Amino acid sequence: MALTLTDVAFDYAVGTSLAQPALRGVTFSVAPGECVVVLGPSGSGKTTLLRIAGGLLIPSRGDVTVDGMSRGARRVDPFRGAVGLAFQRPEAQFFAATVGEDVAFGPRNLGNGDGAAAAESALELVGLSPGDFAERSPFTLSGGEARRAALAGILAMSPRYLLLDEPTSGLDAAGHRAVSEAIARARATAGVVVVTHDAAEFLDHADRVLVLQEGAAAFSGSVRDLLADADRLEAGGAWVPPEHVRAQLLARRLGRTTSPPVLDPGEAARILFASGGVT
Amino acid sequence: MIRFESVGFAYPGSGGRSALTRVTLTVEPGELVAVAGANGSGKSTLARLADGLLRPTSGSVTVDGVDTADDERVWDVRSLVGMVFQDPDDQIVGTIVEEDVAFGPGNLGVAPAELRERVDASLAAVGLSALSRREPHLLSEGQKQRVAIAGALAMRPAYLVLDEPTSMLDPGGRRSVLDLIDGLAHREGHGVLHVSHDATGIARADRVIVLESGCVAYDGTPAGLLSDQAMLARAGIALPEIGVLADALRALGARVPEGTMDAESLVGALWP
Amino acid sequence: MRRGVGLGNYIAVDSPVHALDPAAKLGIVSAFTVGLFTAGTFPGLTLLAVTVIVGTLAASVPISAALRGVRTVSLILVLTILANALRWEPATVALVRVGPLAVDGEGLASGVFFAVRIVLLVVGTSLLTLTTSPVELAGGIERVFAPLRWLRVPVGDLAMTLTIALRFIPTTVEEADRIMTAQTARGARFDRGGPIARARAYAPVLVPLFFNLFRRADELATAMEARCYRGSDGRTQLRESRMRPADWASLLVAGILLIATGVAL
Ligand SMILES: Nc1ncnc2c1ncn2[C@@H]1O[C@H](COP(=O)(O)OP(=O)(O)OP(=O)(O)O)[C@@H](O)[C@H]1O
Ligand SMILES: Nc1ncnc2c1ncn2[C@@H]1O[C@H](COP(=O)(O)OP(=O)(O)OP(=O)(O)O)[C@@H](O)[C@H]1O
Ligand SMILES: [Mg+2]
Ligand SMILES: [Mg+2]
Repeated sequence: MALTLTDVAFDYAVGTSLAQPALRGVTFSVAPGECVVVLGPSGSGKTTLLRIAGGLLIPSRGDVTVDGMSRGARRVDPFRGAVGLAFQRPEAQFFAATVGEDVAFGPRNLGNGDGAAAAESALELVGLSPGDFAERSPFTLSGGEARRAALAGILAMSPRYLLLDEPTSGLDAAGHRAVSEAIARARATAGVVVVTHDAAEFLDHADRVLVLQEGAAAFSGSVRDLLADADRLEAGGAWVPPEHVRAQLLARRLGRTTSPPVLDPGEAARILFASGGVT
Repeated sequence: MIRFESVGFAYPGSGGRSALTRVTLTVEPGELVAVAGANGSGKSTLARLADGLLRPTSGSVTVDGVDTADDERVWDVRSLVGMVFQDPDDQIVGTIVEEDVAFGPGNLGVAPAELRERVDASLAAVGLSALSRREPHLLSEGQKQRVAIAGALAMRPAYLVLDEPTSMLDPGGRRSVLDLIDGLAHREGHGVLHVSHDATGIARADRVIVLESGCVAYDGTPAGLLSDQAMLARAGIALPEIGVLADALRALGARVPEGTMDAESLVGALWP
Repeated sequence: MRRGVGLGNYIAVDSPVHALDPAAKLGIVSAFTVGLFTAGTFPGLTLLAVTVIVGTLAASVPISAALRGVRTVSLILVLTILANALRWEPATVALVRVGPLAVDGEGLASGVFFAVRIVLLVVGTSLLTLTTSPVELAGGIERVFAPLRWLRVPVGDLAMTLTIALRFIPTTVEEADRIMTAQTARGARFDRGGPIARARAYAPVLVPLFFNLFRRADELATAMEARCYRGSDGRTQLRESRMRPADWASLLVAGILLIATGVAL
C-alpha cells in the first residue's frame, strides 16, 4: 500500500504563451506510517506536487496511484476519502457559512453520519474550542485560527494519506505543538507528506526528504543523507538549512570541526563546544 | 508618529467581545516596532487600525497628528501608511504583477517615469523582476506575498505596517525581507510596524509589543522578551533551534551574546 | 477538472498589436464592428475575415486563445444556421427533406453568413481584451469618452467601475473553481451519476459562490482603499498611452476598411 507518483510532470497554462513547466519528472511515494518532508524554494513546484498527489490536478505526464489504483476509467475515484490535502492558503479551502459546517463537510460526504462528532473532535485537536468557533464564519477568523480550522477540515476525514501544505505558517507556538501532535497521531495509521519552509520543525518526524528545485528533485533520501549533502544543496540554491545546522556547516568550513551536522541543538552544542578554540 | 491612545475595538456582531482593549503605543519615524502575540490576540486588528481601515470603538489612533476617524482626512492617513496584509489575496488588485505594484503609487499621482523606476526597484528588492508580466493570481503563494510587499514598498510611505510578511517565504526570502525591513527603518527612516510570530524577526526590532487577548502584555526590548521564558510563552513564541543552541552553548560556558539568532553571529562569537 | 489554465483573458507578450494605444484599438474595434454589420456580401465578409486573421497573427497570441470565445457561442452558431436553413413549406430548391422540414440552399447560405459574422465579431473583439490589460483598457475608454466630462459625466469613475467589472468576470469563474476544488478535496463528486445527481452536486457550490462574490467584492474595495484609490482624477499609470503615428495609421486603415465593406462590397 502506498501513494505513488511516478515521473510526473506538470505544465500550467498549456497552449498559451504563458505555459509554465512547474514539474519536470518527479518520482515519489509515501506509505501508511511514513512521513515524507518536501522542501524547496518558493515557486519550485511543492504545491503543484501536492495537488497532483491529492488528485486535484491531473499530471501532464506520469502516473499517480493510490494503493495500486490509478484514476483511469474506474468507476471509483481512488483519491476520494483516501487522500486528504490541507491547502497552503486556508482561505482557499473554506466554503460553508460556519466553521462547524465546513469541517463537517468532509466526514459527512464520506458517509460518516452528519460529521458533527468528527468535526468536533478535529476542532479540539487543533486547539479551537467548538463552543467558541463552530458557529463563526470561517471568513472572519484570524490568520492562525483559519489555519487551524482548515487543518481540522482535513483531519476530520481521517484520510489514509495526509498531505499538509505549510501547516504551521502563521501559527503560534501552541499551534506548532498541535500540528506536531496531529502528525504523530496520524502516523499511527496514515502516511503523511509535509510541504514546509520550516525544516527544523519537521525533519525530526521525517523518514524521507524530497528537495525540489525548479520542478525537479534536487535531493531525495534520508535525513542523514540530506544533512551530509547540505553544503551542496545550499551552494546550488536548492535549500537553505535551518540556522543551527548552518552554524555547524560554517564551523566545518572553517575547519573547526569535521563531524556532519546534527539536528538536535543540545547535541550540536556539545559537538561545537568540544571542537578547538571556543572562547 | 503613529499613536494609539487607549484604543478599544470590537468587531460588529462579535457579541461585545472586544478584539483590542486599552492599547496604547507609538511608532516613531526610523523606528522598527515588532508586534507579537498568540493566534487571535489582536495583531491584525491592530494593523488595520493603524491604517485607518478599521476605526477604534474607543480611544483614538492618529498618524502624524491626523485622526484616522476623521472622514475628511482618512486619505491622508492612507498615503502616509503603507500596508502589507496577512493574506496577499486581500491586497492584490491588478491583473498583471507590475500593474499591481504600480496601483498604489499611481493613485498618489507619481509621474510615469518615476512610477516605472519605483515599480522596477520594488520588484527587484523582493527578487521578482523576472515575473513582472505574470498574472498575480497564477503565482505560488510565496511569489504572491512578495508582490504584496513590492506593492507597499512602491508607495514609499512614511510608515509601513507589515502583517506577517514572511509567513510564506522560503528561508532565503525570509532573510532578505528581514534585511529589507531593517534597512527601511534604520537606513531610510521609515516607521515600521512588523507583526510576527518569528523570534528571528522580532530580535531585529528596536522594540517589541506583545498582545495577549487584546491587551498589551509587554512593551520593551527584544532582548528583554527573548530572555523571559514566561513572557515568551504568553506571546506564543517558540525559541528557534539556533536560540536553543546558543542557550546550550552558554550553559556549557561559551561566550555567546543573548539574542544571537543567525549562524554567522554565532560562529563569529565562538571563534572571534 | 480544469488543468490550471489562466483565467485572465489578457496575454502579456510584446507585439505590435499590444503596443497600439488602447484608444486606437477601441476605435478600430468599433469600426470593425460597424463594418461587420454593414457588410452585406461574402466578399465584404472575407475582407473582414482577412483583417481578423492578420490581426491575430500580428498579436502573437495563440490561435486557441483567440478561438476560446467561439466555443462559448457554439450553440448560438448552430441555432443561427438551423433557423435560417430550415423551412416548413416546400422551399424553392430544397437540398434535404425530413417530413415537413426542408433545408433550403439560400437559407443555408444566409445561415452560414450570419454565423461567420458572429465568429468574426467574437474573435475580433476578443483580440482587444487579449492584447490590452483591463487597466489599460479602462484608461483608453476614459480618454475616448473624455469629452463627456464637459457634460459632467464622471468618465473616470465609470471607466474604473468597468475595469473592476471586467476583473470580476474571471473572479467569478475562479471562485466557482475554488469552491469546487475545495469540495472535491473533501469528497464531493461532480462527475458521477445522471444529470439529476450532477445538478444536485452543484447546489452546494452555488450558494457559497453567491455569498462569496459579495465578500470578494468587499475585499477588493478594501484593498483598493488601502492602496489609496480615490477615483481616477490625478491617477497615473505605468504605461501612459498616447496616440503615435502608428496608431493614427492603423485607425486610418480601419476607417478605409469600414468604408470599403460598407459602401463598395
Ligand atoms: N495556476 C497557475 N498558473 C500558472 N502558473 C502557476 C500556477 N500556479 C503556480 N504556477 C507557477 O508554477 C510554479 C510552481 O508553483 P507552486 O505553487 O507549485 O510553487 P511552490 O513550490 O508551492 O511555492 P511556494 O513555496 O511559494 O508556495 C511557480 O513558478 C508558479 O509561478
Ligand atoms: N471580521 C471579524 N469578525 C469577528 N471577529 C473577528 C473578525 N476578525 C477577527 N476577529 C476576531 O478577533 C480576534 C483578533 O483577531 P486578529 O485577526 O486581530 O488576530 P491576530 O492576532 O492577527 O491572530 P493571528 O496570529 O492568528 O493572525 C480573534 O479572536 C478573531 O477571531
Ligand atoms: Mg506552495
Ligand atoms: Mg493576524
